[in-house]
Amino acid sequence: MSTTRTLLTLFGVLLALSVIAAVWRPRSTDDPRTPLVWVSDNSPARQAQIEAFNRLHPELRLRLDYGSRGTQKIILQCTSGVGPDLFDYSSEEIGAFVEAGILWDITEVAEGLGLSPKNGWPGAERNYTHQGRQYGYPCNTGVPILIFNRNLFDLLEIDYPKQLMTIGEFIALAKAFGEASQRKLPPGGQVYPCAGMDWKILFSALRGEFFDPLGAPNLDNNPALLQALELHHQFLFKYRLMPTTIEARTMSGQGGWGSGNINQFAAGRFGMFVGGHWTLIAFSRTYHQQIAELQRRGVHPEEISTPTERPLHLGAVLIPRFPGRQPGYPISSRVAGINVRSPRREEALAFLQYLAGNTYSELLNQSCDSLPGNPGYADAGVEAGPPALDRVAMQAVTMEAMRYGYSFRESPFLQLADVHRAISAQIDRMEADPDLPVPGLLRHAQKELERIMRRNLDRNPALKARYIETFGTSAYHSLP
Amino acid sequence: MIQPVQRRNLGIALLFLAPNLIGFLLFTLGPILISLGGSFTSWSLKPSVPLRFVGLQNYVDLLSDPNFYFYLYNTVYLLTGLPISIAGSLALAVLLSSRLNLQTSRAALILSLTAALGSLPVSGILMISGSGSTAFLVLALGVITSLGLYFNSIGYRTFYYLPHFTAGASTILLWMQLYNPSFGLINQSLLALCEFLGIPFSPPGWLTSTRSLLGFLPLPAHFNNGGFGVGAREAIMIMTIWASVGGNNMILYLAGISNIPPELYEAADIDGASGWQRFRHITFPQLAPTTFFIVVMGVISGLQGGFEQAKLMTEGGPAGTTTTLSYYIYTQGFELLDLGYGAAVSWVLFLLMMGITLLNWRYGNRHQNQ
Repeated sequence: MSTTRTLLTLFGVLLALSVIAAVWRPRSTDDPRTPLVWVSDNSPARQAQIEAFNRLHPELRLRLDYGSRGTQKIILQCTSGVGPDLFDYSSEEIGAFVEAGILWDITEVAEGLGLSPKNGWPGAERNYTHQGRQYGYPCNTGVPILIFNRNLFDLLEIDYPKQLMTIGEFIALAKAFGEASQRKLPPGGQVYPCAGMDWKILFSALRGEFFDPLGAPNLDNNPALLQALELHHQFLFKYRLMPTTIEARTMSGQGGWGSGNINQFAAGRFGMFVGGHWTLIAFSRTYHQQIAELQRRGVHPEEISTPTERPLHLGAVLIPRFPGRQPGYPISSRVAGINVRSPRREEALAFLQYLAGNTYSELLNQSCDSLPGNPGYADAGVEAGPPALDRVAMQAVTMEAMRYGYSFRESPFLQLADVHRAISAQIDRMEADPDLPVPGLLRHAQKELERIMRRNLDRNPALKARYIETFGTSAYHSLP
Repeated sequence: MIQPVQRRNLGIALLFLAPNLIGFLLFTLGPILISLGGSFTSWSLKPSVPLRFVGLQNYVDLLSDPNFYFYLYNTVYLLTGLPISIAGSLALAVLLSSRLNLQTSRAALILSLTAALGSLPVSGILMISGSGSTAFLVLALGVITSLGLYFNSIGYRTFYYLPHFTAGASTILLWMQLYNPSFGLINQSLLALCEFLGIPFSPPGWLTSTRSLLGFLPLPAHFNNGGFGVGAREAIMIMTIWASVGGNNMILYLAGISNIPPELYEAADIDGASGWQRFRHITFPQLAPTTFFIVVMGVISGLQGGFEQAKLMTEGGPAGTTTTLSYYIYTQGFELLDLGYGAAVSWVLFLLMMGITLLNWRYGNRHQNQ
């Protein structure tokens, strides 16, 4: 009996403690400002951007939550009502967020606040609009450019790339680079002519589209995609212009899939590199480390005769074009969207306005983090920096490339992320077995997409009705 | 007829059971039933998809989904490491169930100090000569031997159990470094060894390779057959074996060994049985119930496994070769937001596990009783 009493007493104590815990909530802080939580990356530049916003808006208190990044995390948090007020997303993620119903449609509000796409970069609107509706404003925008290592070109005595080469000129240059590298560099020290000139870049240069104008996926009857993948294959296995994923991993000391190319380029393992001019953040760090090391050794950079021992010396040109075609570059943005369930979503609009303003744009340009979303401030606050990094020219090349930038067409039936996943799986197969014919790989990718689309249609009667209305019943039944 | 005292006792019992029972109903049984119901609906996180009953549609889709079979193949393939893992646990338990005979604690201390101090100059020389990783290995071996000699089998049991209570994510990060094709300790060691032996050798790509030891089989094209060799699946299998050899299975075997009546060994000694005969005719048969339990649990956890590795190491790649059914459930539910389909996959996985477990009971039990 005494045991029962003891246990009951314990139970009572635990119950009382639970009640106290439930009632005794943490006292709210005395800070009268409205808190706003922004899920973004933890770039060192974020803190300055947040501080500037908080100074401009004394009634608001913006803070960063970089631990909640990730599509799934954000969707689950927002749908369960504990999501952030603002979060960053890419053009590949917008479909998932809109379909999950967590992004606030600001189309009408944006018009009044001067945030509408007509005030943004032409061709970039698909990064933050979906099915004609606007869901945020870009934190930054950019296109890839071709950055090259002048030291390596000097060492191999190869002419620098021209401002706008044709793809044939690029292949000839890269081949000459590769041959010179084999000839002049010691075994094991050879460098690859290029990194990152993959099927996506080539497909964009061909101004290709994954979906037809009605929204059906078109991978297996798509000359641009076929050409892009075949060139990708040739670059890897015929011309050896760039490393395969496995080779890139072999070269890299850290990082996940496809990462490490920036570090490897900075370390002089590639002659050319396809990337946004935001990569200057990393190159600048390497350059300053190299300068510090030379200073420590008491060496002046101009006294060094061997080019590869000199600190990083960069140049930038446009990505090659295909003859007879207008150049094409994929525009990408990091976009800030507002959680539709946020109780402070009206206040969060102030942050989008801030992104479109001069203060933020200057900070962005100072940190080299691509171009501001507002083209009016594209040059605001650009600092020349060390001449060896060619910062101003790189900004100019990027802005020139923006003229030819475009975003891929979207489809109501599938997401772009599905397309990229399907093709990437086939690229893995290509790299594992170079003898696999490219048309066969594309057929596999197309079939996979049609299977996903069929499932999407079967789950959503309205979507299915739209598909049948557009393509007919037989097209629906022919889906796997 | 329940007596008032019994009723009162029942009330008190229920009161004490309530916290656990409520938790079980809310967080285990409830979600299980919801997922079962959900697998017959178009349940999605997309607001544009209305929730409606679709009958067996998800299951029909699943059976016509080529990815499902590929990921099932991956799951079963990774499971083939289970016998090696169990054999390793058994061998380890047999070794660790005997104590080193060092006569006195003073002798143990002297040997322990010798091992520790002996490893120091060797690793120092290796470090100076530029073999940093080998130096580290020698030093680690020295410290482990030293502690093992001093604390005897308890020390070694602790060492072998260490991976089990280390956070999965941290061991995964460690293995990612080990598997680095260029700088990883594994390929570095293999290359150094082959160079020493004069054997031409191209190291495996580990987590970046689609090859497999069954790559010579004429598998369907969508199985991403990268040919014969060691690839990402083998890399994950090796890591899993490493983590499980010294884990709970070893502890279960150790407990089983300690329960074997010593008279059996005494009788075997009188009959002049060798060490192998003692193991073959006493230890192994006496451990049959433990082995049966370990096999059943191993198969269940193996079929559920591979998620952490796929999520943290490979994102299911390359070309889906490390995507297991558990990771597929996650991608369907939380990447494609199709919870109904994800629930259907999880219920098919459950039926598969139950079927295999029943087979285990049906046939495994018979061997155990024999």
